[in-house]
Amino acid sequence: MERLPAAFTRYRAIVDDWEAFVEALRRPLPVCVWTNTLRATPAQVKAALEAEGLRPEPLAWRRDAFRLPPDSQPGNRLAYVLGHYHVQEEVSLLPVPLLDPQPGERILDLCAAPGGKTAQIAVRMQNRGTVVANDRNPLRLRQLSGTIERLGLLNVTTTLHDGADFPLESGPFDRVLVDVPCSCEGNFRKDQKVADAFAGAPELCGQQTALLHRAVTLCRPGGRIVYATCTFAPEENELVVDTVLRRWGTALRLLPARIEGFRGSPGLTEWNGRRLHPSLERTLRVWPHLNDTGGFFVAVLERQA
Amino acid sequence: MNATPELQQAVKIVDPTPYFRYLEERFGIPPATFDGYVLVQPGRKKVYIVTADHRPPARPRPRTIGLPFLRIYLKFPKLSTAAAQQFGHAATRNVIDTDPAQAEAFLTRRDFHARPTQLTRCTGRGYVLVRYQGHTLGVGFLVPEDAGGRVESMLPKSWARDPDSFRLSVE
Ligand SMILES: C[S@@+](CC[C@H](N)C(=O)[O-])C[C@H]1O[C@@H](n2cnc3c(N)ncnc32)[C@H](O)[C@@H]1O
Repeated sequence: MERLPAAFTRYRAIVDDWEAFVEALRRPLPVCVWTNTLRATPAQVKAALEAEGLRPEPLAWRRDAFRLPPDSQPGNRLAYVLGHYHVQEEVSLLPVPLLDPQPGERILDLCAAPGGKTAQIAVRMQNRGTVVANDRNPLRLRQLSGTIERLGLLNVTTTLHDGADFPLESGPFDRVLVDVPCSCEGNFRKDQKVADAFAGAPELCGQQTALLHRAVTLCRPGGRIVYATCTFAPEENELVVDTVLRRWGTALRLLPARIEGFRGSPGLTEWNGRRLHPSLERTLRVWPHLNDTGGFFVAVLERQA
Repeated sequence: MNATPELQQAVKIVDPTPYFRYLEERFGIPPATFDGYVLVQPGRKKVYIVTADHRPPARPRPRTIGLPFLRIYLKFPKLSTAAAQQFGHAATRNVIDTDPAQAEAFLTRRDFHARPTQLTRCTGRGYVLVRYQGHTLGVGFLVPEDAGGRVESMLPKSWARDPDSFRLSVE
């Protein structure tokens, strides 16, 4: 067996089934596509993929998205050029239903490129209202524009700015998605190099905390904030959320991040001797072996005042 | 529908009349196709189309707003590929229905030859919409020849498929 990165061994105590975890990490990741319902029906997408000799399997928890075998190349197809579907990992489909954007609202996607989640938001809003998709990286912002154009999105504005310093006069927003840069450990099945990154580096965590704090500041009272990473590292997940919860006190609370038909673990309420707010149990940890996916973390927050 | 105050604050609103008239003349697209949308110009060369209820921030300054619609300051404004795919279904003139080999050429950015029978709805040299199985793929440039015409693929590089691996024709 290939050696697992040493960085992962520290999760032994918090994974329910270590053998299954290790075994899942060694398998290649299935490919996933979701239907752009502005342009096509799930049945059309399924038929188009089948006509290309692929074998789409609807996801257990989302019938408009399909799983394909790991080596599939759904990007090199006519229906893809026509914007009938988008190719995106299954775990990346979790945050937007939890954000639950509504038609006509003003939504901010603070770290948006290359735009897979922006697109899900825009489609859920029926191509109306306002999605502001921001990223700090100009090259990645270009990829975001490519996503908007291919999927035919008419309700997205793109901006190039440091999200941690996003101008306050741009707000308030009804909902904010903060899909932060992270150590990407959960991408291990796609890219073994990711585990070389130092998970939980203080500078990175400081950046994530600043981004989440800004997101809360930009959200209207009563509005919702979703924080997401693709890493296992508690320093970048529960600890960041805990820090921001403490800073906001009663003005901010966690809502349950649960999706029916998708298996997840509750968030940690303790790590390395640090006790966290008990409500962190409401966050969602996704281990690869639970649903045969990548790794992920989501927290759903509601601003009270 | 009028632009929201936020949209007016954030970006230059464009009078759509001449552009809609051009699209109606060349492609037969009725201006009502664009009801509920507003044309804006965030930069120099491109006009964008966005939902009329859109409320973007003025700061940070928007890079793009909605979907690229037309490249302007050309001899004839050019409809973007994104707009062609989005609104091309409404066109009735200067539309070419392609066979698999022609569509494959178009999507891999190669010119293709159109037969005279395929040009019955074309009015002459200039932009055409290229369709395949009822879907608008994008914009071509038609150069009439003795028998039929040559259609240049105006598909941007970023949209193009790899000619070595992309296939529409069934072997
Ligand atoms: C996990 S990726 C986002 C993926 C994206 N949400 C999607 O679904 O396609 C994180 C992004 O954050 C951007 N980023 C990093 N630091 C940032 C900052 N301070 N402000 C805004 N964006 C930042 C990176 O350029 C990167 O594109």
